[in-house]
Amino acid sequence: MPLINAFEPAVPSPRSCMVDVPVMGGTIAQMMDLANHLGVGRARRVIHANFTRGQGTFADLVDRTDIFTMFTEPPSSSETLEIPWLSSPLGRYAYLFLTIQASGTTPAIVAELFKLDTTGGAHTLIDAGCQWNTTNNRLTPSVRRGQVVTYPIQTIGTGAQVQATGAGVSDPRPLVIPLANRGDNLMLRLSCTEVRVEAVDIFELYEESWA
Amino acid sequence: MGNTFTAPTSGSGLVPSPDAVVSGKIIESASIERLANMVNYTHAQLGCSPVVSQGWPDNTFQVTSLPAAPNARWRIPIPSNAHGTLIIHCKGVNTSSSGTLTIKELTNNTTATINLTSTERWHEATLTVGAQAGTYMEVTALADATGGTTTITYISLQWQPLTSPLAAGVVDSKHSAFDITPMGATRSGADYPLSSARGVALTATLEELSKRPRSGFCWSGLQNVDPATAQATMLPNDFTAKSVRMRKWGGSRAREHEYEAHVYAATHGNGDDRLIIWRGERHTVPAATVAPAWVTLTADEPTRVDERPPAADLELLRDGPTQPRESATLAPASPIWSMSVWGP
Repeated sequence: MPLINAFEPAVPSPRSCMVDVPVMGGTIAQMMDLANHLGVGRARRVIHANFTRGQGTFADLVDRTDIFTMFTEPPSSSETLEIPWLSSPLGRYAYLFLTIQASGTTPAIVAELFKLDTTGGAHTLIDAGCQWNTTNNRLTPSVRRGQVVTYPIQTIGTGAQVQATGAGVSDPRPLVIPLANRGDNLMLRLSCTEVRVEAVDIFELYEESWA
Repeated sequence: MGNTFTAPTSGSGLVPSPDAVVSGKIIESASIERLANMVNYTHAQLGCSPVVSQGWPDNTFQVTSLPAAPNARWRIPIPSNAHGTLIIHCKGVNTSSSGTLTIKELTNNTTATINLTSTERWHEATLTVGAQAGTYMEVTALADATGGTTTITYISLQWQPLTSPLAAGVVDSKHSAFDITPMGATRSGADYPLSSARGVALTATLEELSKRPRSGFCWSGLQNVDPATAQATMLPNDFTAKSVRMRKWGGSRAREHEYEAHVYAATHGNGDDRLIIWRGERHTVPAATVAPAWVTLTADEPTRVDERPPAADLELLRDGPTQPRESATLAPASPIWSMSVWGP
């Protein structure tokens, strides 16, 4: 039986706990199954962050038109984005999905994890992070169709497969939340070159180990 | 001390094992203690992921005076009546150190104000929301500048998890018909009876916890800001680019979980009705509706899995509004001023 079930079991019936009736191990096991699913599964932090930029005033168009073309605005040459959250005591890793548009010939993103400082001091780097670029073939530059250049929406991510960390910035992998920082305010920093990040989904990952 | 709990971190053996109570084995008090601990921990932490996490990287959330009305608004789910504090993380700046950001909840009208300095940095504040009878509440953000220019780059709102020990007493139900009873840790130890009342309280607590919502999609347009390019409502490309990936849990449909989408919507007064489409739900905002109002849609968990990353048991849903097919002949203006999606 898995320790932490991805399937949500039913709540045991209150009738299984009535006076003068033996409480069965199955009832307690079902309670544990559900408590573990909720506490270790669903209670981990999940963050959906999105970024909204100036779009002109065409949201206020007052006439019919079908000339609206999506995704033709080029991304900035460089942009730094930061996403904070109060982490849970259980998250050992953070894995990411990024919804992006890339331009140019050498777009790149570096993701780093910090302990957030909210007093004006420096943030503490806790994972040097990972990168997506055209060298490691994790990013596709813009698409040219005749005279029109478009910047298609791409989804990139770290995957959820835990990998060894190196000293520097590595290829995409889940970011490590050290034991000392679980439960702290954390901050994901994305340093983007010729890439526009539209949304980021961050999932804390739990891994059981036995003492 | 009653109602204490410890984070069931790895290695400390605090995650209760269902294998410890299978047929033929004696139910040990340690197993019951771990179960009580896990239930308390779950009550404290479940639903405390950020409910708002939105950034404006190119200085569109900018004011040079006090706007007449809020700049952004969101509806957010409330985990339980015991959760009464929102943690605010804001990144902002005022060029003359004379600007503020005020977060206000609209049930009791309590506020939290952050004073911004001339150096852009992260700030943290808390907002005590007071008694909330509903399952959700509305929050607004208002930036001010008594001098200089105020620019807000990021706002994150997150419920503060409860700390150990949990307050004594039953927490009234919010998302089901069942109350939460914190488990006295010492009452679950050796030599204490596993009473019928305790078992029934456990089932009721688990029932309520399993209905507690987790936030998914959350977005607000900007109103009453200075830049004319600020995005007031959602645009069709946002539907594709900003949708959320939510973890899909098995058993959701069998447990009759219901997802909710709350949409603050109005047309642009151009004579056209506008549609909101979310999952299989469809709502028409009549052309005459030019003052936004909240619309609530509900749906079961979709059966379609969006992605399965390279690890076991990671099924994800893609969620957010979708573009009406008939809109190819309409202006690319959506009626969505603000939208939130949540579900168990």
